[in-house]
Amino acid sequence: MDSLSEQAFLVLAALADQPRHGYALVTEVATMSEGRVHLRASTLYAVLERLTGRELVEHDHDEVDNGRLRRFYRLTDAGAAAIRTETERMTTQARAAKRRLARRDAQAAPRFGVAG
Amino acid sequence: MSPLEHRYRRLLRLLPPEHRAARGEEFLGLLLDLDDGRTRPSARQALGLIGLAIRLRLTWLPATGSVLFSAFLVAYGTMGIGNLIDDYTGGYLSNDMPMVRHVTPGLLVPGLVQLGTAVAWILGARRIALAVEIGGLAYFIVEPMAADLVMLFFDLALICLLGVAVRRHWTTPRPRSLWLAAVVLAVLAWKGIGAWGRHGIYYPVLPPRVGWILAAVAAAIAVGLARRRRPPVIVVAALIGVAAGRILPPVALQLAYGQYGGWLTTITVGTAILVSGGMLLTGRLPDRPDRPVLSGSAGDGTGA
Repeated sequence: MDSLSEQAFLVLAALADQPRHGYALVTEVATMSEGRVHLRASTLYAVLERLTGRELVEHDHDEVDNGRLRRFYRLTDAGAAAIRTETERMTTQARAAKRRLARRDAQAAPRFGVAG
Repeated sequence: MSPLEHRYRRLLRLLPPEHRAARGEEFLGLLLDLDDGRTRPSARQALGLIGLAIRLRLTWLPATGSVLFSAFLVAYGTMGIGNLIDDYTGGYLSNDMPMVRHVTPGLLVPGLVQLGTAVAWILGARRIALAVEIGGLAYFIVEPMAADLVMLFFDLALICLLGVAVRRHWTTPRPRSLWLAAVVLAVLAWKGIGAWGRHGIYYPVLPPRVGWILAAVAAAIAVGLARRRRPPVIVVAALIGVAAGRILPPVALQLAYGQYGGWLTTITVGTAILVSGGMLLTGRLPDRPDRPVLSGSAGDGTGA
């Protein structure tokens, strides 16, 4: 399976617990990324287009609120599997990076009793 | 309808009709939510929408690009042979022929290489086309008689383009018989251009007065299009109109007949139109992709 972009991963993760519409996805992604990723409407639709094409996400239902059409999307089983795979990959990489950082810190620590 | 909705509806018209029908209302709802409280679309959302519209509308490029590329190869591939035929059928006097025959191999080989590249490409042998063109470049380098620095760079650029085309799996749209017929016509066109040039018909040059009239017309059109905008925008539109009207027509003439590719552009465009017309008549026009091409990272979503 092709790897997911950060935006695609965040959109999938935002749909993990419940179906959401576009605006809810934008706000949820901003919350999950601690304000770092603000999706544009165009970006969100490009991402949704790709995820729908890969059958990781599907249309759930439509609602009209205040005259505005809101289309809800839900995660498919394949989408949930993709999040799991991506999360495991990221966890493995983070663990490896942490191990190397710890080794670096150990090397940088003062070594008492060694002259010169 | 609020001013914001009115303005976004106008912007949404930039999207291709099929996409607007499928997603327009949903997209509009999200844009109104994101820009709630504003009267004008935010630059961030508007630019994103324009970018998306451009990307969606460019999905026709692969099909059109492959027609244009194949047409270019036909025009370029027939140039050498067409010119050589013209040399033998009127380009030189009979008493010059011994000298012409002496240099013929040096002209025939590059001509055949160019033709071979075009025909191989049309027949679907893309790698062979690339190999033939590389062989032609090697010949240019080792054969002093055929060496021409401009042609050398031109061939090098063409090899790069062929490499990209092979890598991206561009193909010549069918039917191939149309393209092969276009090859014959293009050879005749090159012969005809040579004959035409010898009969005192010169390439058209745009007189300065006509250039300024075109500039004024273009400025008037630009002002008309921007008439409801603020005065500075109208002034900028008028200036762009003047520049476009004054610069584009001479450049177009040069492209068609003059120094920037000369007749190559004319024969390329002519071939593309001819073959596209043939494909239209035979119902073989290349299809647009079913789905919009939105792959790759949508890199405008991170950060501010």
